[in-house]
Amino acid sequence: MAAGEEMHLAERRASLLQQAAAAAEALEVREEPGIHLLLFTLGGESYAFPLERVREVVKLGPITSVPSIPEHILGVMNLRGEILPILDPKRLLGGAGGTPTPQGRIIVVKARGMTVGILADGVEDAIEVRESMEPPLAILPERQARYLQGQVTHEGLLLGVLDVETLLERRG
Amino acid sequence: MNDGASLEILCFRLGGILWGIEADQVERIARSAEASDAPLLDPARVLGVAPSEFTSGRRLFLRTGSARVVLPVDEVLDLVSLSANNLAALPPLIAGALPDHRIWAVGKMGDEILLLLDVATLAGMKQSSMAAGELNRLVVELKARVSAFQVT
Repeated sequence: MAAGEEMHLAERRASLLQQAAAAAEALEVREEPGIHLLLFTLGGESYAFPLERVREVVKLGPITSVPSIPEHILGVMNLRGEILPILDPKRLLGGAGGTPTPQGRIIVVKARGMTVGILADGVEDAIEVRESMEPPLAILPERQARYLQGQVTHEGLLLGVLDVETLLERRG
Repeated sequence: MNDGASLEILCFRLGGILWGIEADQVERIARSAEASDAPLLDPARVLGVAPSEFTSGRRLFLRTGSARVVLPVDEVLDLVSLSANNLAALPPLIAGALPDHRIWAVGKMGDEILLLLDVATLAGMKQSSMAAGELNRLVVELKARVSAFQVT
């Protein structure tokens, strides 16, 4: 094979390999895993937590109230010997709170080095969403938007993904 | 404390909540009507709870060091021994939200949780309430003097 022909062959192979690498990279991007979320309800609305933040979901047990703390912290619960603070996100999102129902669940989450129980009216499902998370809609009241990590669309519904870190921020 | 591994706790209810105090800090339990020279704490002010109007009520005479205070409660329940396994620190989210160290730990009694009170913190509140009381007394006296001056 002549030197020029060899050079041409090498260039062609290099070009093909470059294209193959680009195609593989594009495939990797397409196959990037989706966002895993736990869906739950609060006051008739559906919300979600990133699944990586959720340790477990348990039935509602007796909650001991602690006086002189902010009203969104309902008190403490004894979960198999572990004392968990229980937080009611409805009171932070602008809802009225209220008496927990039999369908009520405690979603045990971990953030800021703490383990905390979050009171939900009900837990629906664990889902995987392929679409990317979008910032909260500008029309949302600031009181709600500040606790949202973002929003995703699932089965035609826009879901607010709650930011566990912000929920646990210290406030008066 | 009876040994290194457990605590004797006097349990009582106040404002619908189960509380506990180390038994060696309780001098005695008396009826509400009994007079005392130790300062009487207002549960609504120092703990954010009000005693029930429908219970006969008892008073706990508490001592820590040289400080003595009296705490009205709804109902004195029992003396229990809590081992280290049944004690837990207050979760940081709750401890950080409280204005002081009035609750130093929690006790686990089955599903029920006992809030363990720190008598020294309560006694400190007594001192600040006395200071506020003294200030109020001076304000009343000053107002009386001013109104007397206006009359003359």
